[in-house]
Amino acid sequence: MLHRFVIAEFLKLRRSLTLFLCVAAPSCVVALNTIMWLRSDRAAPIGEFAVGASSLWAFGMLPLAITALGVLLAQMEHVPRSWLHILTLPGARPNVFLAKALVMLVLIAFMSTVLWVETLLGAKLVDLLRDDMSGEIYPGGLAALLSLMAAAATLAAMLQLWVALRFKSFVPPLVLGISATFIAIASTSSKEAIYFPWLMAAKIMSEPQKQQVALTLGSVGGVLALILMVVHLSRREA
Amino acid sequence: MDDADISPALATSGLTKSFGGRAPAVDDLSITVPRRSVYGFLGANGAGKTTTLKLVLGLARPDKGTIRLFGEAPGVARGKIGSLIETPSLYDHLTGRENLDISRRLLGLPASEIDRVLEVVSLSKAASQRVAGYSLGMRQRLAIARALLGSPRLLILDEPANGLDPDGIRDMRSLLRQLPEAGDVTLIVSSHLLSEVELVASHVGLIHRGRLLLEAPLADLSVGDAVEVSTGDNEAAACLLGEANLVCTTPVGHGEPLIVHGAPPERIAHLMLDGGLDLTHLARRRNALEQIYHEQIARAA
Repeated sequence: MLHRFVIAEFLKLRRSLTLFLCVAAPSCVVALNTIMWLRSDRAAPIGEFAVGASSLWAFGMLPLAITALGVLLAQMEHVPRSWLHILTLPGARPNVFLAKALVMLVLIAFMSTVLWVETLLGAKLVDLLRDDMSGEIYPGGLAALLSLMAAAATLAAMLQLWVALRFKSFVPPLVLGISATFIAIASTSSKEAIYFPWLMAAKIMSEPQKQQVALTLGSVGGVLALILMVVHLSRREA
Repeated sequence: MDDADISPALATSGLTKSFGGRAPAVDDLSITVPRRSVYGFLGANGAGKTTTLKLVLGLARPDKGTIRLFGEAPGVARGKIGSLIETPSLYDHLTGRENLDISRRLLGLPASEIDRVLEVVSLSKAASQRVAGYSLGMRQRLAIARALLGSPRLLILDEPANGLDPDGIRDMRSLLRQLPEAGDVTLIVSSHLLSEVELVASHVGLIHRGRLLLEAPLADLSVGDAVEVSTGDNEAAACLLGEANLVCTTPVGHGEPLIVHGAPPERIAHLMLDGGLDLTHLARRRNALEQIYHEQIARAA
């Protein structure tokens, strides 16, 4: 039964802003990083290009992209009031909410993949246009890093989706996501930052010694949040 | 034949629902919708129609009372119901066909089902257009097509004519008329448009402030105790009726029949013929649903 709901969720993405976001968000990061590297005079190993893109992604764009993704996925149902139809279907609760969460996680993985591909292409472009680059970029290492960051972002993603699905208005999830991103940037160097869901992905790369903690908190906490969200939303009246 | 085979399509008993400590939106509501009927669920805006239908569809939980669908618990019978509640609830960025395809997959139905329901609502030609470009009438019809996926045995339509222009209302009426003819379908149509319901319903339930005021086959309700009579000389006829101590109303319009209360048509016919008058029209006067509605509301008040 769940697979039907997951397929339906993917079908809804056709020609949607959600898919556009999933390509645009990582593309912005790579474009910005590429421009910065092309304008810089500093000679550096090309591997740092991947570090720059990953940092921009983890600290700024990923929390904002997760916020927007949650809002778009939820508003897709809130705006046409489609809960009034979907929730009358057999087996809809809790599968519809579980399917939404799974699709969100897949889309985060998709954004990470787009970022990975574009980062490699961006590095190639910088290497071609600048003759002072040295070293090489490691696709496998970058893929592993982005995968860990996506997994660590699960908790923040589920919290965002929960709020977005709970409220018909898009304002509460936007306020949450933007505020959390600002708090994350402001508190990134604090000792407690590792426990802040919107910073867990960033901590994967900024504090390698605490990588395991961030990954565990982010992924296990994300699964727990997902379960709580599904239980809560399934009991609500439409 | 077990109980489930003879049970009504929908039976509620003592259904009650309040929101936030306010007066109940649905108050001790017991309705019975016979199978293969077209049940007009009537009431003013805010009377509790949509809340009742949401309770039936499991979109809200009742505070008290029970719901049985075809003799089964609502959760068991959910696959037998198609519905359109409040608004068409469609994805604007998708085409009509894509919208149906999503629901079709969720219900586990074959792809051919889409063409069937599009045919029923006459939307086959517009199926590949994006819903964003649909008129309100087309949206309503597409939502009804979606509700028809899987040939549900109970179709619940909440205000299906809402916001439609006269042509749209006429199309909707003919669609609603043809649905029960297509098979073993029971139709519940909630509406505040009494004249529209009168044209399609076989049974009516009247709800006011969450309480059921009246429930009956429309045919039983519409046959009143008044008799219309016309003769070659209505003034003389009125005198005859007055002499027989019958209450007689003379309409303002010239040539309109007299309306007589308190006597069967046979007695009136005898009176006219005995009085030497030519009887040109004699019929039981049918009560309009609107009249019944206002009488019931006044009685409840």
